Amino acid sequence: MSRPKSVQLNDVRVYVVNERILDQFISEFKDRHGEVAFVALSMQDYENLALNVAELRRFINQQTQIIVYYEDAVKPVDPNADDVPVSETVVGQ
Amino acid sequence: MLKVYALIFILGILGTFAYGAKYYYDSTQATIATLRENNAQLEVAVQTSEESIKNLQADMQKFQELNSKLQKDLAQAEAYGDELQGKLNRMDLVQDAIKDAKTLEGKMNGATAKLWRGIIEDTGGDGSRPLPDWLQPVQPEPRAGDQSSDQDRKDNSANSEPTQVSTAQ
Repeated sequence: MSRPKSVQLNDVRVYVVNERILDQFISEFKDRHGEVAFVALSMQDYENLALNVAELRRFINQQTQIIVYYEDAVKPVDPNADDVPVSETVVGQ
Repeated sequence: MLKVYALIFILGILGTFAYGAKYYYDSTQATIATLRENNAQLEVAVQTSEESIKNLQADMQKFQELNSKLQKDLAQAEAYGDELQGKLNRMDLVQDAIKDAKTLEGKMNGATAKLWRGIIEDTGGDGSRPLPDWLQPVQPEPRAGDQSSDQDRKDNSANSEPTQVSTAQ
């Protein structure tokens, strides 16, 4: 069975705004997007979001490694041998 | 007449001995055949056992290697999160945003773009796709007029002003 196809992710643009450039940002944002409507995150929430994504990435990678482990485990030791795991050969005899 | 009886007696004795000898020979041969057959079966059993032991040893070694590799890979998968956590602990994003919002924005966008590409690569995709047009690599000496030379590039986000970005997270 083949692996699932890779994820397709879209780029995301982050704007960093402080009080000093807030008016300028709103003006530029309106010029760029037409309307002034955006999602704002505090720095703490941005950090949490970044850490959450990192945690998901860790899970994906570890899950992949476990799949690779099992794939390697069921491969026969001798590549010329029958396509049967060694442990099953031993137990059946 | 006595001689005839004696002869019959002697022949009887000899016949008994001959029959006994034949019986002993036959039973011995049968025992030898059984033992030979048992020996052959035992040899096969020993050979099978030796092969099983050999296979088990090879299996054990293989699983030890796989386990060792798995532990290493699992630990390696923790690296990005640990590195990010350490970086966030060292930085004060609020102060950085107050001091220089644009630089921080560039760093964040660069790190985000790199993260997406990293995840795409982790799942078997092509993580080397180009950065979006609104992201530009950090130039050694950026000048104010540099952005005008970028007008012929394809832009996915309308009227976006590119941010200087460092892909180092």
